[in-house]
Amino acid sequence: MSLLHIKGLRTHFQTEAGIIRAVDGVDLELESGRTLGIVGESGCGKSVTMLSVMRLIQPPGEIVAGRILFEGRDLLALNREEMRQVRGGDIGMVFQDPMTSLNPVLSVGEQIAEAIEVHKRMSRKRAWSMAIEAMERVSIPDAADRAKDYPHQFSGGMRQRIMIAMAIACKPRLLIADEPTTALDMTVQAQILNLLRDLQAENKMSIIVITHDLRVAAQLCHDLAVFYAGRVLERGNAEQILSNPGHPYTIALRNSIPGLPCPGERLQTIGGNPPNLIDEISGCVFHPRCSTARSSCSNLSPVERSVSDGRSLACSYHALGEM
Amino acid sequence: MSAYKLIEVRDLVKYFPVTSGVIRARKIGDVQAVDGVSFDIAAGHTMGLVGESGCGKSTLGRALLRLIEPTSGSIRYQGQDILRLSGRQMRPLRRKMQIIFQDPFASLNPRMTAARIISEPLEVHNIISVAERNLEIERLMSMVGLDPSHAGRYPHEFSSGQRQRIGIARALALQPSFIVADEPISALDVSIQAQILNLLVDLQMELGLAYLFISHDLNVVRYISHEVAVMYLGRIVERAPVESLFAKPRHPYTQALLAAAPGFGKDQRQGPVLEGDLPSPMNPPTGCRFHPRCPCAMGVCRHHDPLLEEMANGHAVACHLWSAYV
Ligand SMILES: Nc1ncnc2c1ncn2[C@@H]1O[C@H](COP(=O)(O)OP(=O)(O)OP(=O)(O)O)[C@@H](O)[C@H]1O
Ligand SMILES: Nc1ncnc2c1ncn2[C@@H]1O[C@H](COP(=O)(O)OP(=O)(O)O)[C@@H](O)[C@H]1O
Ligand code: SF4
Ligand code: SF4
Ligand SMILES: [Mg+2]
Ligand SMILES: [Mg+2]
Repeated sequence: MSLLHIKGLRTHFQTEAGIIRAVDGVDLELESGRTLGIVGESGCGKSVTMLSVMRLIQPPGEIVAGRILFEGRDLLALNREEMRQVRGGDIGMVFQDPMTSLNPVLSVGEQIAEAIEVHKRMSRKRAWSMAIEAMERVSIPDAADRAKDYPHQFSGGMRQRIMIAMAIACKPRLLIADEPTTALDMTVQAQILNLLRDLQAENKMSIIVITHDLRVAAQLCHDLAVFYAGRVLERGNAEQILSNPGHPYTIALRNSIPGLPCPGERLQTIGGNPPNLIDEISGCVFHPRCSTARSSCSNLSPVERSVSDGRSLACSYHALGEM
Repeated sequence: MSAYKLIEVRDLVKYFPVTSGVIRARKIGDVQAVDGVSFDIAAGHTMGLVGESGCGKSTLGRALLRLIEPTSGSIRYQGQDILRLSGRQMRPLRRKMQIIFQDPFASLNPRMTAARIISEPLEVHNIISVAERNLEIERLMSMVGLDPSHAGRYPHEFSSGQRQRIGIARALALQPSFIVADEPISALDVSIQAQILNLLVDLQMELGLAYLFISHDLNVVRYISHEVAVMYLGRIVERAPVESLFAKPRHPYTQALLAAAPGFGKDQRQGPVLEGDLPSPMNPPTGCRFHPRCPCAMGVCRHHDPLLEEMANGHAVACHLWSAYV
């Protein structure tokens, strides 16, 4: 049984301008002890998918279809109280913007302790010492003293560590990190990536990392899912996908990144712009920008098919080696 | 490309005074945002500028155009020290030096059409007749890959990549020879970044533009630059031709930055990762500013500030490890 299995998830937002199909038929699977990278351009539904897993979608948003199985239990069928135990207990999440997610008027130790008390019945004192333990696990020096400090007294990199400490304080089996390094400097980003890697090795925790940076995903992840317009266009082993991408979108995305192909060589581009999710695209969602589209691509919706050992992609014409 | 020095910067300093109190503001110190920076940019060439957030990249870029007034130092444009010029004398030079900003939305006036935004500099400088204006707008829009029939649209009607193209067209309107590009693609989607990078390279070839290209993404800088300067706490700590910098980084900070840059390597731990964060630029460390984080720091580093010294082949570094070799 996989740790997390998302089947046919659709999450839509009813707005004045129309229905935004933020997530429109997503299938994902994560085995225990592995790291899954979710990559794709901004607005393609990465965050909404994970917020759906946490059942944190607010109106006008709504999960309109699908199943989300965590250790075989359908999270969409749980009541509020059961879901509250899952959230932060079984599944920890680090949100996209660290400054907005920490309360500026509470010391960081209090915030972590509060998060622990939601899930575990224990004295304040015990929760406080667990909070310090969590801060030590994310390598905050002098954790016992620093726990009394407020968020603004920490640098951006340390605030991100504290967010991670809060998410892992109850030893969740799955950690979801939404763009954990995007706002950080390169050197600090490397520190956080190493931290995530260590946490996984030490605690046998599974991790889902959302990132728009393919290179971050390449370094950290066993598996990869490439999102586009609220869908998964390709998924499977990260190394294989990056060394030999199969879907025309994955190929184009990979070739548009400097440093690859050779430095100085002209970059390949993807024509046009990422889609807005209000206008429904008929056929393959990528067809308006696909350089290898055929005439039928504008009305034939590709179904996801598996191409090799656990790799699957959603393109009617291209599989591995056919390009 | 005949590579004469278009821009020569010497000992450039920009301090921001820091005050406390509201009523009787008292100066309590300076943020040493740029602290003694020297480099040249050749006509038609790109100088890439990298460094962590807050190290002074944008301040340097703005000071070069006198969008903020430097504290001291000199900036020569075609041999003429622009810091000695009056506002009036500066005017014709302003046309030659332009800037492109990071956020293509915030930097465009939402109430102006694309045509107005692009042609405004022409009107301000009064260098084109009304009759010629529309033709010129059309020419500029085509040059940056925008459809001239969209000239009447407002910024919100364009995508972020197209808005960045409008910003570039506006910068090009006065036919500059030097452009400061301050993180011009950081706010864009990955697929759009490549389009804008290619455009900037094409325009450089076509128009012989020189760029100061600011970015925190080493791969992007490597792609677009001829020379690269690495900044740390207001100083340039290493400067070299691009191949030399990436093949043989000499400063421990540059080495750490390169080690931290995500490449396409598979699941491997990154090399020696820098611990700690950038210290406050209000109170920089004594001696070498990098010494509290430097894995190679020696006794001398705590007290003596290393100078940026040129080694062979235009590779310059400010580090005591290398002073013996000069
Ligand atoms: N107007 C100002 N008043 C006071 N301090 C300032 C001002 N502008 C910039 N600074 C300070 O000067 C230093 C350099 O800032 P600058 O914006 O040049 O950094 P940067 O390298 O461009 O960073 P980033 O990568 O985040 O854009 C910072 O410590 C910043 O807080
Ligand atoms: N609260 C909301 N109301 C309306 N639309 C939303 C809301 N949150 C997200 N969306 C839309 O859903 C789509 C996917 O968003 P998101 O999952 O945040 O993208 P990303 O892949 O960058 O994380 C986008 O078009 C976004 O504008
Ligand atoms: S189905 Fe057609 S349009 Fe879609 S990715 Fe494949 S070839 Fe391109
Ligand atoms: S001068 Fe010393 S502290 Fe500074 S970078 Fe060189 S070795 Fe490190
Ligand atoms: Mg997001
Ligand atoms: Mg800046």
